Amino acid sequence: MDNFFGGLTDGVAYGAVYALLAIGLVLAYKTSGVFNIAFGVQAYASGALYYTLHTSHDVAIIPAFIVSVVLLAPLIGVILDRLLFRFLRSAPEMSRLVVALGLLVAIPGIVQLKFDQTLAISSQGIVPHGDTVYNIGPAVLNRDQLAIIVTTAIVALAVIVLFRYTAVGLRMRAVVESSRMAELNGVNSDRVSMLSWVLTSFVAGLAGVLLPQITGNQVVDVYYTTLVTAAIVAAVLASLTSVPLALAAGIGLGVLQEWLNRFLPTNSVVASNIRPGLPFIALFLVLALDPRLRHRRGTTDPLANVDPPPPAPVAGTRSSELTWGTRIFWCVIGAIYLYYVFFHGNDSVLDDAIRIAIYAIIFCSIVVATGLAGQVSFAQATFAGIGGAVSAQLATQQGMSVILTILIGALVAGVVGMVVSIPALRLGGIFLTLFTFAFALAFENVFLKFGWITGGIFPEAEPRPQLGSVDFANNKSFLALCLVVLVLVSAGVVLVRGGTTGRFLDAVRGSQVAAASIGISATRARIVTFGLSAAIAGLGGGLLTSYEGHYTPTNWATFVGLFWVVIVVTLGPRTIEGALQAAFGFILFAKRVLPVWLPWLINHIQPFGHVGTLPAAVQYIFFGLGAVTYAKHPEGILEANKRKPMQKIQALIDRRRSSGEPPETATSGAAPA
Amino acid sequence: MTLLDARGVTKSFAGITALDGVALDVDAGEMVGLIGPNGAGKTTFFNCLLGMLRPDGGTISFDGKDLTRVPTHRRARLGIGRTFQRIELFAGMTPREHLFVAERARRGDGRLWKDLLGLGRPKPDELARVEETLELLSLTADADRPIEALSLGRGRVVEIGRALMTNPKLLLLDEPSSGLDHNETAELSQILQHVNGERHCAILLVEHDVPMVRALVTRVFVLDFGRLIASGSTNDVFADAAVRKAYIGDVV
Amino acid sequence: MIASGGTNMRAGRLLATSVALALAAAACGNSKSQSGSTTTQSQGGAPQTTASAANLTKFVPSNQAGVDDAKREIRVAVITSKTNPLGGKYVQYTDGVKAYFKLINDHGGIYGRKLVIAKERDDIIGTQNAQQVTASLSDDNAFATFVATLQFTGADALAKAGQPTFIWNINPEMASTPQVAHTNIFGSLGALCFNCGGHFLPWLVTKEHYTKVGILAYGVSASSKICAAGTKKGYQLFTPNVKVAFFDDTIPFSGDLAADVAKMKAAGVQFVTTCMDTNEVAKLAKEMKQQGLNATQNLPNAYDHDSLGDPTTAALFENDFVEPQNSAWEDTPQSPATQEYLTAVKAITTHPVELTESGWIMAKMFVDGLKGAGPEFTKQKVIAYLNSQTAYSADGLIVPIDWTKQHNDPQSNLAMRGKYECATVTQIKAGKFVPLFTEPGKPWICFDPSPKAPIPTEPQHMSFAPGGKG
Repeated sequence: MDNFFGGLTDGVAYGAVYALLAIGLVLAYKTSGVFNIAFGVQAYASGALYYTLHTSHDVAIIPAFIVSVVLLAPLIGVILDRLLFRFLRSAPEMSRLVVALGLLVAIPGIVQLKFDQTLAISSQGIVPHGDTVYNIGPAVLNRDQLAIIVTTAIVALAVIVLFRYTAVGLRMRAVVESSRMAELNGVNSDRVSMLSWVLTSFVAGLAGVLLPQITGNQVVDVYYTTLVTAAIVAAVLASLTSVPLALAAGIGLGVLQEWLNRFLPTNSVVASNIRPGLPFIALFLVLALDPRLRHRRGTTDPLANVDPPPPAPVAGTRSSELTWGTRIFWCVIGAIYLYYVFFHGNDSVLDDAIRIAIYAIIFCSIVVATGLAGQVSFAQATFAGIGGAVSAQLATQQGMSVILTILIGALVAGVVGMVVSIPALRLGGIFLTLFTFAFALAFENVFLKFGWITGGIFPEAEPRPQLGSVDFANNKSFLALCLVVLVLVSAGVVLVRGGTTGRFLDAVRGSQVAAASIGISATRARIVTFGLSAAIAGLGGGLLTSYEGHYTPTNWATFVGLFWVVIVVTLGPRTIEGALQAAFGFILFAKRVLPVWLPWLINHIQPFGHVGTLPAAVQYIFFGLGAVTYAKHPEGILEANKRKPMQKIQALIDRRRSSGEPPETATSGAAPA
Repeated sequence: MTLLDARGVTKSFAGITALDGVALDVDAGEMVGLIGPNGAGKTTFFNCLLGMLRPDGGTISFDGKDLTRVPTHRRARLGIGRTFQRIELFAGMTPREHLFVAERARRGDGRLWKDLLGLGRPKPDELARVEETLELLSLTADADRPIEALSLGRGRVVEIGRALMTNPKLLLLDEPSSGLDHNETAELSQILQHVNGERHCAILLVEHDVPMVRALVTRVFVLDFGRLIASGSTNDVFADAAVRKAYIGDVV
Repeated sequence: MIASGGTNMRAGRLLATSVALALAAAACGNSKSQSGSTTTQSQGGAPQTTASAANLTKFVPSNQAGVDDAKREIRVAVITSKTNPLGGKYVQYTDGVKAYFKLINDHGGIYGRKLVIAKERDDIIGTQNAQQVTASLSDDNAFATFVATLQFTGADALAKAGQPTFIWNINPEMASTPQVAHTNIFGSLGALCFNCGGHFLPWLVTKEHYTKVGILAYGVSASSKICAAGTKKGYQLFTPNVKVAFFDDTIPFSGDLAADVAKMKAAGVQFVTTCMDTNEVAKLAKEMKQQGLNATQNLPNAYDHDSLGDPTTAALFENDFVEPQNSAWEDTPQSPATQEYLTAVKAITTHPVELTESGWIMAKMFVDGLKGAGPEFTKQKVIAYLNSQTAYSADGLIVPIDWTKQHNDPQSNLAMRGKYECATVTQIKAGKFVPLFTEPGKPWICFDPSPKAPIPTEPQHMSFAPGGKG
């Protein structure tokens, strides 16, 4: 009975955390149409400010609370709405998710520029003497736990009342459905949407100051985000719409987890592998099995086509001279770079080049999944890791040829990708992405604990490949191998993009019903691309594992995979060029650009003062904010910024050609004046 | 010869009967109209024909095959082409590309390994077929413009062209005149007649625009509140008092 | 066997701040053969410097990489996990290095040259370690490299380059692998031993009359699990009367501990050992308080004067035991080496942490290596000199390390363990670390490291400082 009641009361307190976060997700989704994966980092921003003020600067509870929750949190909401989401109301749901993902990466970077990490565990939360314990019947709860339970209940009630009984709640939902339609009906959608963001952000702020005292975690973004990912299952059980269901599911999850902790034997595979993975396994199962979520179409604005059509990608509007010109230009740059690497570069330059080549291969998998199929997968790092683990284990335990094991690893990753995609494809839009997320997290929590997958804490060294008499132990020959693989993969991606599969995917992305009407099976096309994408990631994973000599799980952490998506989406998710640029960015930005190149440049162009090494956190801000532009430039920022100069050059070529005739500047067709 | 044969098709949503034992048939090469006021169940019936909805009762057979368990994309391969009331085009593609994708889909030739071996590029005979259809529909001038730059009327023609590329025996048109002005509608009627004459494919026209239906089809079916209230040759049906009352009212 | 078996995950190390493991290793870094002879060898652990004071100032031109004779500098590179979302204070390692270099430079430098940190690198939570190491080796022109990172995937590269390397040893990669000898990599501990059950905790438990103990560790971290298993093994080996009443090595990272505390309370646990980080033990203390479990904790890495300054934290940890990595500042009399450090570090930072002292100690080890190598020093000579030391203790700040052996993994080869199994213990009383079980001038308590030796009633009280004081 002790365990039953103890588990129940502790479970309710912990469940209130999940419930508060789940309600936050539901509230954001209902009132702004954004699956706000950045909810946790918004909470973190308020938490960081509160604990810095209260703990490090001895500001009293109430003023610290006012500044961090009552002022900062809504301010963040206003900023996000005014600068970002306001322009995305008729953007596809997926674009909004990617924007939120960018914020997930950028906000902690911004916060950390200003605030140190603070230890919150021992300090007071917003409740004075929060660890004072009360015995209420059989329940033992402290003030902090009571505070979160009460807060969650009040927030839930308030949101329910808002939606059921107030005109504002109705307007908020109308604006999400179609802001234009709402405006036609006399709703000031700008004001309503700002109010929505203020409200959601306020809830995030509350969570930010309350959570650390319950979960005992430091005020660090990863903890908040981990809790939010665990709470996703409650939000999904509520179909992202029902607040009472989110509340019940959150509490239920907390209680279930607590009971499992208490009733499962302490030391067993079940306890060690299932216990931490429970929320993710639950999410995986709910998404795979819940019939309510199938074939759900994302909210689309019926008036969305009022917007002007997006401009065609640059490549489409170039003449063949210009296309060949740019190709030759890039080839020359590439050749110079490789000449330098092979004949003049030191070990570090060579190391960079090898990693760039390998990550470019991996990022090609994102080009396939996101650029071609229009799906955002959060599991690419997991697929790459599977490729790496399989090849390392086969090479070290079975003594197989490394080239062969890398290929087998890619194959296994591809098959896993296809198998994962089958249930995923019944889900539309963001639920598909969440499914890949759940798969990645569940895999990380459950399977990556087995030594037979990872090779253990001291994995045996994996040799480099050998092909006939060529031994790739030498880094230069290994680079050559990676380049060959990269060329093959790129060629494959280009051929698929230009071939039947690519066209079918374009069609499916354009209109799934229309594609079906001419006999294209969206399911089959997507399973094939998911498999291809996972296999490419696995190939890269195998290469990196062989290069480093052992399987390193941190290379393949799920959150690393999220950063990959962000960086590729920022730089160009449609093209091989984009994947290459992303690989350069991923390897060199934190290592060379921020500490060396950028300060050098700044110090040479401005006379005002010396700039030292820029902190690595800047890369998260840079790429995070870059991804925020995804909705506007689905082809990537670089691609978007190339357009204008390309058009100018094109115009120049056109003018030359039509000598004698009056110059026609806008002949490239892309610039409707 | 009967091409499409629907019998006793019934479908209800949450207790409301949307279709009640509807029977409809289309012969090969024939042009047939399906009319009825809003909410009569036209779209529901249409979706049942295409497999977007599964009927609660009744049978639908096409070209002698029972369609009940055939998924949407396979119905297309059997020879049912369609267009959409709310236009559905592939963003970012030109009309030529629309037709080409449909041609590829018709050949059912989407193996990934072929792409990887570089065998996925357009072949001359495919391009020739695309060109032929473009000419048939007088789309050649617009063939390489971005689809977003085309007017709604031209967009509908592209939809028809896309459907034609699959060599349909039956073309289902879902209110093709909606959103078009008088001239565009007339132009569309001409094109449909031309297509029917050149390609000999049957057309089932679900339409509001009575003059258009009268001008094009030989037989008409009239739905009202989920039930078939009249069917027969165009002239007979439009002469029917019940039809005039239920649907056309005193407009005509 | 232990190394490759078991369910584990390297990434876990990223999460489980690994000082716990270092301490587990400190408590078990022993040789099996030296029983009974420890006392006689315990004195004078300071390096036997071959260079006399006179020729420490002698300038001999050098063409070694990282020695800039134009500027008269010896350059080193420092790599730390500066970008660290988990709030680790790795970068403060650099402060210790700076403080010791300043001390040397203020006294005229060495061999006519100043010691300078030429480059500070950030390996971003350890995920870029191999890259940063490779870049540092090719670009930084450094004579030696200092490392304090969450992961140490660059170990092989440093070993292959023969670079004198001085690390904060929490990384299993420090140990030589079957493929590559890591004899150029030095830490403030020898190669870690996760699975050796030590004498210290069994002795402490017996001394304090606890009969029921609990052990908690992360399930996500293999090293944390191995640490827990080693602790359990220690109790089983040496204290048959003490019952391991609760054992959980499956704790999810950032999960809640309510269920564990409830189970410990039911089992009557009096003393809790964890292989977890400060944050988690604080969470545990809070939960124990709430559920009314009045047990004492042994805190692995809580020797942090800053956080104890907060009265709430101090109250939470009242009466808990803390074992500093290096000899404690509170020892009376304070050892001269500690005094020297505490005075010098003020010039660099007002908030030194334990890791800052580790940086200081490793810088001192490097300089001692330079001194031993003589005016015509080379990288090889520095490494060779340090590797000739059988009891290096940085003037008594750390437990002596036998560098002829302790580059090797002691888990597979017991003969590669160190000679000494010692700890220095404090207890938290009213917000202060109070040294326990010390005799004046002898901060360390040491045990016969043989797994066969029973726990003594009284351990050996020892000092490793020159002259045997402090």
